[in-house]
Amino acid sequence: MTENKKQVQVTHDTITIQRNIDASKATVFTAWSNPEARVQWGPPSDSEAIEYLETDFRVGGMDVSRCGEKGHLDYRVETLYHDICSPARLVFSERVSHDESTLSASLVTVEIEDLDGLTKLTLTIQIASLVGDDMIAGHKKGWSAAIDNFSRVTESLK
Amino acid sequence: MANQLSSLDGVFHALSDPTRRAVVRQLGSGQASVSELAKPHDMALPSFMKHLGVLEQCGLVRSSKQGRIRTCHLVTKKLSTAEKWISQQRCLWEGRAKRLVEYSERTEKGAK
Repeated sequence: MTENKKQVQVTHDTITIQRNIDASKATVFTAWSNPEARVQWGPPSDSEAIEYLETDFRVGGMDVSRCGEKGHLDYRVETLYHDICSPARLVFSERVSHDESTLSASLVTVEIEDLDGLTKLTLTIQIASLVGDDMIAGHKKGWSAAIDNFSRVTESLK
Repeated sequence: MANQLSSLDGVFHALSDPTRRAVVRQLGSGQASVSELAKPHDMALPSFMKHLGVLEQCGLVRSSKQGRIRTCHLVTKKLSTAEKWISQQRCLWEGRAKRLVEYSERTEKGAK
């Protein structure tokens, strides 16, 4: 078993994120449906970018994009749409790969609801991580980068 | 698996506070004594020790005492590789969510 390094143990987790947005449900939904909008908000920070190679926003359709640090869009993301219910719900899966190895596969559910004049957004991301030690060794982002990201994000949420 | 996840919860709880994140960042560049760690923070030592306690409890930080000096260091192996990836994914989605909110609110204002 130990000699087969490619057999990486799978790890599961579910991430839930909830935000109240001062915009209509239609505006929030369009931010997801329009690839030009996604290019703007999709990168998690200003130093990162997303470039779409293909887009096909319909049930059964697939987007293909590359993302990562600007100038180094090393990660390939394939997004497959399973359910589109404008402007209330979206279900899609995401396969993230690097050098043809799958790093993770996730099922993402986006729920958009009315809440006292605001729009409540709930993201549920169910992840199966297939990242192994040999794979992460080549990654520029290590533990300290994750901490910095986390700090930046949580501080900006205040 | 359940243990792994609950330990991850502990880590996220520990990192949800700016003082504790600053400590983790500081320890990221090498071990330090409690007084060195406490110095940049404008709080009483007992309060600071509570923060350190949270970091030790979740296993991110370990300390040892030599004479009168307690030295702390970061336990970088606390998260498995897969958990690191998942924590990065969490950061990524948190970042996206923040920018989605900003984008939507900006677009809404522009349309009015």
